[in-house]
Amino acid sequence: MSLSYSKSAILKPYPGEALSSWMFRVRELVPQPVLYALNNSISYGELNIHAQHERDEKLGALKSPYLPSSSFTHKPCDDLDFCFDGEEIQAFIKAYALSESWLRRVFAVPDVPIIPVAYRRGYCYKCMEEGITATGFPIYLKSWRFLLQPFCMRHCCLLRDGNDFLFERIDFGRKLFQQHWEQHREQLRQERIGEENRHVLALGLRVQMRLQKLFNKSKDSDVRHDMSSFVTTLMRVTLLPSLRFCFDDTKDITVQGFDEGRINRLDRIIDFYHTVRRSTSAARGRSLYLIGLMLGWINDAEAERASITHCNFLPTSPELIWVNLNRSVGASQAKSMLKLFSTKDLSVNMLKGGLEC
Amino acid sequence: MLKTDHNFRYILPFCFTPKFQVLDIQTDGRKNCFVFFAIDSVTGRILHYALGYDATITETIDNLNFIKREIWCAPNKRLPPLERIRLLRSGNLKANKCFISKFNKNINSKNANEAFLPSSKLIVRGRVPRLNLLDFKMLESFVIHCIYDWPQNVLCRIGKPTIIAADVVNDIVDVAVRRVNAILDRKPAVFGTSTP
Repeated sequence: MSLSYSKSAILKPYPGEALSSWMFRVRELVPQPVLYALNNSISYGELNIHAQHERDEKLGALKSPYLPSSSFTHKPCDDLDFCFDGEEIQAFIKAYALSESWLRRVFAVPDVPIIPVAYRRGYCYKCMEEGITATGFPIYLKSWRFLLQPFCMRHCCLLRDGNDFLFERIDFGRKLFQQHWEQHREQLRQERIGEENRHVLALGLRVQMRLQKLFNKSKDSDVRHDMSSFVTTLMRVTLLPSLRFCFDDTKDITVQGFDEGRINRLDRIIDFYHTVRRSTSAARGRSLYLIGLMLGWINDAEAERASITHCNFLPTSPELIWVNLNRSVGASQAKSMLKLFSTKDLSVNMLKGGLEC
Repeated sequence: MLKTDHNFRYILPFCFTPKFQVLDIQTDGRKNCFVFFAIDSVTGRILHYALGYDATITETIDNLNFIKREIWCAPNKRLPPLERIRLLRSGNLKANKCFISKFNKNINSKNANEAFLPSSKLIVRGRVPRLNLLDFKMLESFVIHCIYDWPQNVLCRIGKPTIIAADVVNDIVDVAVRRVNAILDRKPAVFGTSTP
């Protein structure tokens, strides 16, 4: 039986799709391309020793380490979304005879802070539904791993958070989708929280959109980097222990991951830098609200209107935030960083209320 | 390993010891790695030994006081308890100057493994350019930031943030050095101080 395979059979990536998601789709729909190609080009009987060796090498590249293991997971350290030099991605490129430069261009890593692969779990259910309609697969989008985008810009909603232990699944997008339906109670809980917080979340979304506009407006990559570092530092500040009460109504503010036991014993500096990377979408959404207050993008009246229904413990003015922050240990270093990353559009001078530099 | 080249042209007389655990390839075990951070001609050497699987150690370093204490570079010494290791920077600029120049001299003239800096030889000599022009508090904060605010190429190679392969630690420090130099070039005024 002659099997046909051509590069035109490779699927086009869905707009904004993460590399891992596309790799999974390609493998599902066009499995074992090297075998097909070899079958198509030369019969096995005619292979000389060199050609046999070459065929075995190609087949080896296809099967290992790319083909899923029995647990259907990749190595915990391999980031199949953004780490193009990884063993599995390289094997995939080889197996499907793809152009690496094309792959890097299409699935480029943007110059924004990224959530590490071990803590990825955010998704927008509506986007997944659209992905299924368009491709037949629940597409996983790379923007869900952008630290400063806890809201889906397309559907203007907070990203949901999936299970902590799915991150290393090769079929991550599909698993998230399945889990969404399996864990009905959890979905109801997240919906309830979203509904109760809707006014606060709307303000957080407004802050995210304003930040995105600023980032997009900036042409200078250094300035853009400074701006994202400035906002990330502010986000870290809002997650300092002295402001934890702002998140106490949410079940988790951080993704548990597989190293929770270890990370709880980390020291103050590591905690300051890593908490934000482990934070849930809900926590980052709330954090953007606090950042909006600090920057004066949300005024006191708006904040009071938003928090009065459910979150009446939330600070409604920047002064109330800084009262807590100024006595916090990690704040002094953060202030230095805020000063350093100040730009024309986002500067330490723009921060309202009692910042003691 | 990091190169000891002229790119490390800024002088930062402080050291830094994050609680990294490094995978030891030889024994397949984990070791604590202490990174000494000083961006000058000595830096590469210090980092070279600090990032070797046996870290460079300064004994009794919990209170870095160059006048009273001794400092040496000893790759094969046992590691001190983590609790005793802290962020190191002497507030004493004279001591810093002395430390850097003497240590540099010492390390150049002898086998670096045996480089030894007895406190009795700490004399304020040596010319350290730019030293007084830098705001160390700011610089210190920024180096800490660079060490821990890992870029994507580092993040995507890390599974557990507490267990980092030695080559990744090298990259972290390498990137941090480049970032510090770049920011000093780009925004020197932020690090400026009015102190002469």
